[in-house]
Amino acid sequence: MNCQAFSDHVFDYLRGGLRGERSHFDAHRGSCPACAARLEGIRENERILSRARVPTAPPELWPRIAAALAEGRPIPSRALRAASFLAAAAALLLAVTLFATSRPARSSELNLIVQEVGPESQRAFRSLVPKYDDVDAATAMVDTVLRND
Amino acid sequence: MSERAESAMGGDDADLVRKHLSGDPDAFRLLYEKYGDKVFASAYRIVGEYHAAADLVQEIFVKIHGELRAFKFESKFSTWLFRVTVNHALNRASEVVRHARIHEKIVRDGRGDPGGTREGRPVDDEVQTALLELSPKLRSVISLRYLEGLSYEEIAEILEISIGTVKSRLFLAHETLRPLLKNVTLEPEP
Repeated sequence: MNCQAFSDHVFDYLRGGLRGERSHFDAHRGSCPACAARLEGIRENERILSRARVPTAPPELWPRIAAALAEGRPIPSRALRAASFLAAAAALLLAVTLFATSRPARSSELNLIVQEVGPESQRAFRSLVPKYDDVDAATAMVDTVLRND
Repeated sequence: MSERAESAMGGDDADLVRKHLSGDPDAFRLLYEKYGDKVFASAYRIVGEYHAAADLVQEIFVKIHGELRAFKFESKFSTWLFRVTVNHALNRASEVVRHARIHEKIVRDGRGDPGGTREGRPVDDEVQTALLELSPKLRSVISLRYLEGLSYEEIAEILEISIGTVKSRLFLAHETLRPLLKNVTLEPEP
């Protein structure tokens, strides 16, 4: 057995299968430290993953679903709001970056830019700016996350 | 979980689906009671953000409520449900994860929650943080295998891939996770 075959069979081995191939598998494990380490790594991962706590659904979720079904349409979800927040932040980032490349931003001028974009963008970016002290810090934070994505 | 859902646990999901289709007003809620937490756990593991996972579960149950009439009873209801869950979560994962990173950074910077989209965190942060380093496809395989406890065959059916692909994705996921989980210390089992 080679390393590729070892990786192909490792989960069958861990599940207690591999009757015919088991001796070949054990022989390779004994002679290949890298594969032996992989096997132990998977065992350890499995031990951790099996002990990880699984979150439960929030109790208010069924009432939300029932209300959405009763209305015949999904209630606007937090995820959709989150997506629009991101889109808004990205859109405004572009506007602010274009503005900032020409001269330093002042709050009155920033307000003029903000008025040019939609209300979601205005709310989203305005909620960020105070937390990051100024426009540049908020812009840099959104830019960093978007570039790292 | 209600007594009725409890008894349905060992019974026949298809029966609940039929009752729902024939107009039983409680049947769909019983399906939610039976699978809501499992669907939530899978969605949470894939998108990695508590509220986003709750939104996805809401969307998924509203979606399947409308699509149950098309359920052909050719596969297990749970298989069909997990397929819808994983596909929906994968479709939304990149968008949600990107947003979660912005919020993560804001919270990490100690600047509070900008949009009120995050409340509290589960205790298994280290595992979840490691899982977020995986691609959504690898994350979904890990989630179905180790959180839902599904067999390779069931995972292959849900994801509509071969058993060999399930195993190779699991292998790759473990290779990626090993350095990320090596410092995780588990409490002694009670």
